[in-house]
Amino acid sequence: MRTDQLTTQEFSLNLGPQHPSTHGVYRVILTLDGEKIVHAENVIGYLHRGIEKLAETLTYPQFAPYTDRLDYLAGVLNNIAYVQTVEKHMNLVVPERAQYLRVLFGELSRIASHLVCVSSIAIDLNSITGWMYAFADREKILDLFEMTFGGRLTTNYARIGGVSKDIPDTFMSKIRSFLDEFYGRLKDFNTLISFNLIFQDRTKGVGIISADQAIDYGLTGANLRASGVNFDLRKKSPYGLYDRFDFDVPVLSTGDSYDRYYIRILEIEQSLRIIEQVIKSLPDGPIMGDVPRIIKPLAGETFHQIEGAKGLLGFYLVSDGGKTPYRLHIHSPSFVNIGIIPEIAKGMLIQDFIALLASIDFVLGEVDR
Amino acid sequence: MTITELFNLLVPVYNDKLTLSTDSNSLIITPDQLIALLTTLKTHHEFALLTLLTAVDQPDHYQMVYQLMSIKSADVVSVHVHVNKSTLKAPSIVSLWSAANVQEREVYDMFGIIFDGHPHLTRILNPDDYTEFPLRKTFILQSVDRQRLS
Amino acid sequence: MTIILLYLLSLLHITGLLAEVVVILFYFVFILLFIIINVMFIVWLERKMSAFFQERVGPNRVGPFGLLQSVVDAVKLLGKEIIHPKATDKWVYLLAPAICFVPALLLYPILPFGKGLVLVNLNIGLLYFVAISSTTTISIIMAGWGSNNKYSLLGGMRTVAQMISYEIPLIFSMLGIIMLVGSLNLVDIINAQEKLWFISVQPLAFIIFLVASIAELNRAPFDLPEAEQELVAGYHTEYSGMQFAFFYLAEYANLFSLSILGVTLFLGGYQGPFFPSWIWFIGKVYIMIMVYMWIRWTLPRIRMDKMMKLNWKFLIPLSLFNILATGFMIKAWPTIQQWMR
Repeated sequence: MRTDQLTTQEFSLNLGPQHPSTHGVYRVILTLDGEKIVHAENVIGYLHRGIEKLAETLTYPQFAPYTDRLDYLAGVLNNIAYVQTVEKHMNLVVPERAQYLRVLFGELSRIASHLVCVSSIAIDLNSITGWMYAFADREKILDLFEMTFGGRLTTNYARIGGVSKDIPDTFMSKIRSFLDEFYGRLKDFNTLISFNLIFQDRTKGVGIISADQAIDYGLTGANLRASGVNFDLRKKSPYGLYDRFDFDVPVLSTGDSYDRYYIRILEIEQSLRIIEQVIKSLPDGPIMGDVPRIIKPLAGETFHQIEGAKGLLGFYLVSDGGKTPYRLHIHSPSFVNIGIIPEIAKGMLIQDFIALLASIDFVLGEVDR
Repeated sequence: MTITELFNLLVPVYNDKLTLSTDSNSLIITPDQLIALLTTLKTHHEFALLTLLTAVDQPDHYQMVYQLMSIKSADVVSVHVHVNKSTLKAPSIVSLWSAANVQEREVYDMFGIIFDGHPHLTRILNPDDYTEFPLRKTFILQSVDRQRLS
Repeated sequence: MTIILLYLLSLLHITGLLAEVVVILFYFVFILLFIIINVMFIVWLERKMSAFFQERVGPNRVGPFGLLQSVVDAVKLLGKEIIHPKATDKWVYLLAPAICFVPALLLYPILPFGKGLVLVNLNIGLLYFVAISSTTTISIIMAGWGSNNKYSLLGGMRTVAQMISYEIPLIFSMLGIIMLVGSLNLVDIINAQEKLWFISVQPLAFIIFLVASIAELNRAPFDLPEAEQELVAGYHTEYSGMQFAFFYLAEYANLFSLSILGVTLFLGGYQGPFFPSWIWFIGKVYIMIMVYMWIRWTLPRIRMDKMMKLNWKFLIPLSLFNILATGFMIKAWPTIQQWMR
């Protein structure tokens, strides 16, 4: 039998929406030749709740809890983005203590979100122990959230003009003990996963995204920085008092899945630095500024972005002077980030594709809104 | 530089096709010159990142909103295009930024605007056989009679 | 043992052929019960050990320390609805679990559990073991193909590549010991380790055996055929209830028997001072099982092509080198001993 007369056939495989390692209700239609991917197509919209349309019927304060449900792994950061957009539009002054608390809980949310990402990468490569380690630490962060404002996942913490609740008396000692323990646990996690040869073998060289490709496809956040582009909105155009804190922006150059994974570990370390500085210098004062009873921004439009956990999270607000927004558009980083997946997936093996999906780190709440 | 300064710099090239918005925050360009303007902003003025692509249902036209950001300085420039509500045609900027691919599909899905030159313009968030365009002001958010769905 | 049974049966006036059949049935039931009880214990052990590694508690509700958890799970699996997808290749799909489980059972009669505690002292024991254990591959391909499910098919295809490839270093690692002992009989191999366990003269073979056996058992880091995160459940996606229980049981029965083989070949079998032989046996086997579990819960999964590379470009040359070195040392040892005096 001559091998040039043997024909193989491509077949299409449906990955998801119910699948153990797509991160949420996300579906990819893969056309496979054996185990090599020939073509990939994203299918999303399974979690579409019409939040942008709902915003046109809700008042500004009423809409704030809906923002938790966007990137539900980092609740406080979404709140901050929305609230700062409205405050920017209305030129409201937010007291310093509220801004410091926003930074504190925003960075804790960022750490919580990155912990989910690195542990998801680990569990997708079958290191279930690594996943457990990271989630144990995430539990402690969620305990801190619950202690302060009652919510773990759906936070609704940042309100227009300030924050909803002040930290209780026992908070400082609890966060101190969390931080003291966390450095050691991060080292343990690194030994188990980051420096493990099999893990590095599975992720190094997989899904390389060059800097030009990243900018072309609009990647932002850790994905962009892992491809070598030094762009962090907290440094380039500081908002919410980030210019008062001293921290570095890690940038890695290869742009493969390992870099996208490891840069999140480095970002966790930098967020810990910010938190330490916030705790030391937290000023006294009110936690809510001077806000009119009924929020009626003047007619006009505003666009505000923050460095969210997954990338640049932006809110575009068009107001007609009424109590409800005329148009509210949410520019979510995950929605743009998944656009690159069909391009990079060509020619990959399924196993590498799973590693790629986990390292892009998208959340379906943000993708579908 | 501010938007007004940028406007003054670009007016000689585009003449009356380029106008400044009433709040001096955005450039308004006609659809046929959109790609040329964005190319200039991307290459000559180094606004390399596309950070917003959406539409607003204004009373007499659909307003496409584009925002570009510079990587070096995080400066932002905003560009508006007015799309005619009866023709519903706009140029696609996928050739400039691949990031526009998914975002233009979302605008098509929500408003019904057809983008010339888009490689695969299909619905992305709503079901494929959906007939409405939800973000138009003519679409009222209300509960749907269960009989009609089946 | 057989004599006692025959005597007891003669008291009941059952002799001749009938008595022999009864004895065989007795042994069959005994082995089945032995395997099932041990497998249930191993499943519990796995869950407790993984919990220990992951800073959790593990099963602790049913029975003391959760010991009855496996029993309860088995009862639950018995009660589950058996769903047959319509478009499967019927007989291939139905027979696959049975063909997976039966070889696992067939391996036990030749294994020595203690001094004089071997059911069938087969002269070609090792060859028999290796031959029967390789038939598991057929059942996995049957399950993968017969399910009419692309995920199962992918799992089945991976299995063919993996399990067949890794049998080679597994067998080669045993060749060194066969050369040292000169016999395929498992009891002879154990007796030859009276003074010195073979792990000290064949350390390389032990490592190769360990790695190859993990691949044969489809355990992490070599569990590609059933990689949950990629293939949903691989070759046993479409099986539910008791059929799934068969695959699960067979996997752990294979773990048990391969650990026993490892202990027999490298760790001296049931040999040891002071305590009775079967206590040594059980202790050593369970330590080996715990090593397998330790590896499983620490390491991530290896990629398919890297796994193939590991086998063909690394393990096989290494095991061939081991055979060469063993052969050389066997011939050269008397000369070296003389030279040392």
